[in-house]
Amino acid sequence: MISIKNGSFSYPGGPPVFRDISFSLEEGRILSIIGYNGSGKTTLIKCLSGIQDFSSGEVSIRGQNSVRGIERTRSFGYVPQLTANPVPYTVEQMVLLGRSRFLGPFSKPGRKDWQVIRDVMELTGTTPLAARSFHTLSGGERQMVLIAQALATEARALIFDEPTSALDLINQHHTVDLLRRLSHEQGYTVIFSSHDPSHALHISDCCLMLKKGLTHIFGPSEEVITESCLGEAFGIEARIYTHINDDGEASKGVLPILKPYRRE
Amino acid sequence: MQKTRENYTLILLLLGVVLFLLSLISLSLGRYPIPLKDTVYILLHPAGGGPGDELFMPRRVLLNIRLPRLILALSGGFGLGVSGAVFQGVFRNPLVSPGVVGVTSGAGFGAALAILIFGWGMTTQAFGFLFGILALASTWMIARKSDAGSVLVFVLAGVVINMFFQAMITLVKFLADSEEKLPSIVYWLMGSLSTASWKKAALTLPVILPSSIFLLSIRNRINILSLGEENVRGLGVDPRKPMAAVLILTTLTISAVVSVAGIVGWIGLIVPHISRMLVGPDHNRLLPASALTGALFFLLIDTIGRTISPQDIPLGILTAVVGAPVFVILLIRSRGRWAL
Amino acid sequence: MKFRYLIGFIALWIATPLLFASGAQESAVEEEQSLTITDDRGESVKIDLPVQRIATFPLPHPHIIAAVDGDLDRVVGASSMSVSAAEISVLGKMYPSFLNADSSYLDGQSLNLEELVRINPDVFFTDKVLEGMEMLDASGVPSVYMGLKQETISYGEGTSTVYSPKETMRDWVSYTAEVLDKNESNAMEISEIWSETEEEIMSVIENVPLAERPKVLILFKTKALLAAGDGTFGHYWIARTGGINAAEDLKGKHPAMIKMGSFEDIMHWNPDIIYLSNFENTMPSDLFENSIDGQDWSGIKAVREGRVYRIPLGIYRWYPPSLDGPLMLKWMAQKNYPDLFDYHMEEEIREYFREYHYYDLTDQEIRDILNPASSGNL
Repeated sequence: MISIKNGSFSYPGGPPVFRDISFSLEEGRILSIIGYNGSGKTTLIKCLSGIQDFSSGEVSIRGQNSVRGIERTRSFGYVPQLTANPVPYTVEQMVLLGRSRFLGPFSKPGRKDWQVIRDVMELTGTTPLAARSFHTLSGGERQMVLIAQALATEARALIFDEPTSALDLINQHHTVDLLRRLSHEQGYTVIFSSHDPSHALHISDCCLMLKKGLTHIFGPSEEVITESCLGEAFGIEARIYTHINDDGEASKGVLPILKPYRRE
Repeated sequence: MQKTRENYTLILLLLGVVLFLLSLISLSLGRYPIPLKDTVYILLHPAGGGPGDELFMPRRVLLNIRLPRLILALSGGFGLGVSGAVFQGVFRNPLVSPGVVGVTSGAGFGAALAILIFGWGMTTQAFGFLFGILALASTWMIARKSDAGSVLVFVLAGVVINMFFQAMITLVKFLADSEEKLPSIVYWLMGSLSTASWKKAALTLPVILPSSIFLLSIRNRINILSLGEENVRGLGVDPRKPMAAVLILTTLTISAVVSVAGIVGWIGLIVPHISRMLVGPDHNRLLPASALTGALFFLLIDTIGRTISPQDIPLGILTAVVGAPVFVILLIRSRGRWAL
Repeated sequence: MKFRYLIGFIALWIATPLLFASGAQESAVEEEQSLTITDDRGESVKIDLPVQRIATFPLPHPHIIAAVDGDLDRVVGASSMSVSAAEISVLGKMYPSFLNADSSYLDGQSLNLEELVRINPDVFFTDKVLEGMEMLDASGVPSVYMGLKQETISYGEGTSTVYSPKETMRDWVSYTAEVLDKNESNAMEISEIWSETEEEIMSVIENVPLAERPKVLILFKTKALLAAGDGTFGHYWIARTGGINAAEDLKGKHPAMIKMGSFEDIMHWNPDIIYLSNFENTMPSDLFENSIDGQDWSGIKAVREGRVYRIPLGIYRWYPPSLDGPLMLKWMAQKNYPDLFDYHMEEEIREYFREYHYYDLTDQEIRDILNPASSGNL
């Protein structure tokens, strides 16, 4: 169980970025954090993962209260937003860096580290890329490498900062599907932020929606991601459509209602 | 993967062999002619006879003049190579070098000030270190205040700090008496090992070698630090301690080198790039390669500088003559990104 | 209105001849009270007489002025290095007022024009063409440039062109005597004695085969590796006292010193005799004890055989142009060839000072000349 009580954050001397956020998430579940640009999603992700500390509020992880700083980061595998790393390491080196928290300043990766790396690269399908330079990969491949890196931390909870925002449709699908499998098949707790409510609706068990005026809603995704809430949160009218396939399984998608234009 | 690991070992071995051979050749070159076979003989039989001995004078030249100089060149290059690679790694920027961010001129000012006040000695390094750290801290603060992530801001802040300390160096020169101290400060600032001695070696090696070797031994931490502060924390590692250690050790190394050899630019900038071409960007391999390449580069430059003309040519001139074109080529090839 | 113009016109009419008359009178006075000399730049320099205040730049010049003028009262400005030499020589005892000479217009090797104009000298002597000298002339400080003189002397099997301490001294005596309107004969006598001493020494050395002549090194500044290379004053002293200049391969333009490549040069030359200049505080003992960082003296022949000497400081530092030149020749010839020259240097010095500097040296003063104290300001 991961729970936050009254989590707030503001930069020194600045206005609050978010305020009094409280929720709790059971292990093995998927939490989505959605909100408009600038709603504080990334800051919240950083505070949750321990990269930054909340200005105020309580975090408890698996019954342990007030886990702060580096100690909290060690409860998570963190997948940063997709940006190019300036140093062109190979894929294998990038994944190996996921083992950093287990390596002392003077030690070298041992047999166990290499075993973990082989496993997570297999899981993410990055094994064939091992010797390639991270720079030469496509966006989708990079995303998989970063996920492998987070998995290499052996943390049971994974935090993703906008995992789909820099990807095309099919790679978005691959990523979201991997997140789902990690939770459903491997039992990972998954927290991800997104500005696309479709993904949240598609895989997340619960959803934290950040709205204008420093308010938020938390609850089961089906209840939070509704047409009315979306209108409030994003400031645009949206419809939720359901597609039923030949096997009778439903998948939902959010479609914003755009103003129709016709060229005169 | 297996193949590149073998390549890496081979390259390191090759660098070692070249370094060894160049050291021997360098020892036999100089104003006092000593044939290579005599050089080897003297090194194998360092204790020799009195003035009657045929090798009496060559032995003194070799053991008391050239050997300390060789050792200072090797360890200086070793230290600058490691520090340069570490700097580019932790500041995540291939254009950064101890010179660019002002550490070198800061250390140069401190050392010059100490020479002016106390003459050469322990204080030279201590002052060099103090002002080197001050320069680095100033650059870092300016960069953080304006735009933490921006490489450009960091380099520009370095330029400002550099210019300031260059002016302070000029002030020291202005204050130095023109007969005795000014020429020696000016000559030392241009970069030279011509005053190398066992005493200088004994005072600087205990700083350069442990610092560099410590940096080498934490090289997996450099890989982590190169991801940037937030990502390092994201990986569950606190970047503050290793970062502080890295900055203090590199500055110690640089100020020790500056205190004996003056301001020798370019080595910390060029050597990591050359090494990266040889062994790739992984700091686990880059740092040892950079150390050897640095030693090789420094020794080569110093040997050329003391043999090409009757007078010692300052190292600063030669490193710039070699370094500037190499760097321009790297810059064009890499278009400002990491050269591969 | 017209009346006013008329008055003005008349006044002008009366005044004009007066103006002309006074002008004529002034030029007449000038002819009596000024001196025009052509200096080594080829410039005509007009100096108003009598010269009461002298500022000078060349380090050896004050003691020459003292010899020509019989006093140093007129020297109001001199290099701080001239003053510091006087502090540890008998010159300071002979003319204590000189120790108060103003040095502020010389910062290092450059001239502070405003400071020089402020101390208001009647004439300024220099041995360097300084930046801004034409401004000096315009500011009413006539400046006389007296360059260093060269001569060609025999050396080894051939000849060598050197900066000549003797010719330079002679030339500076002439300039000084001319400007101060003094009889130069006494100082000029030194130049004759000098030539005689040269001949006396050379007549002995002629018989020494080239191969047996000692290899001599004069170090101007030891730590900075500055030596008396080819063409320097030092080359003159070595040539005139029968030595082979160990540093003859060092070529350069400086009259006193040329930088060598590295300490290896000295090891390569391995000189028989080393002279240390008194322009630095390095002592023979520093070489014997091998206490200079970065230099290994212990193997050098001169050091092993105990033949390292510091050059004396008489009325002024020996080595550059000085009125003690003949003494320097005798002292160095004896050090080079102890078996050939039996000069009793203490007596030679005592006699010479009595004869040419009109000063009776005490035994202590003679010892101080031969073993000059170190000096802070070099």
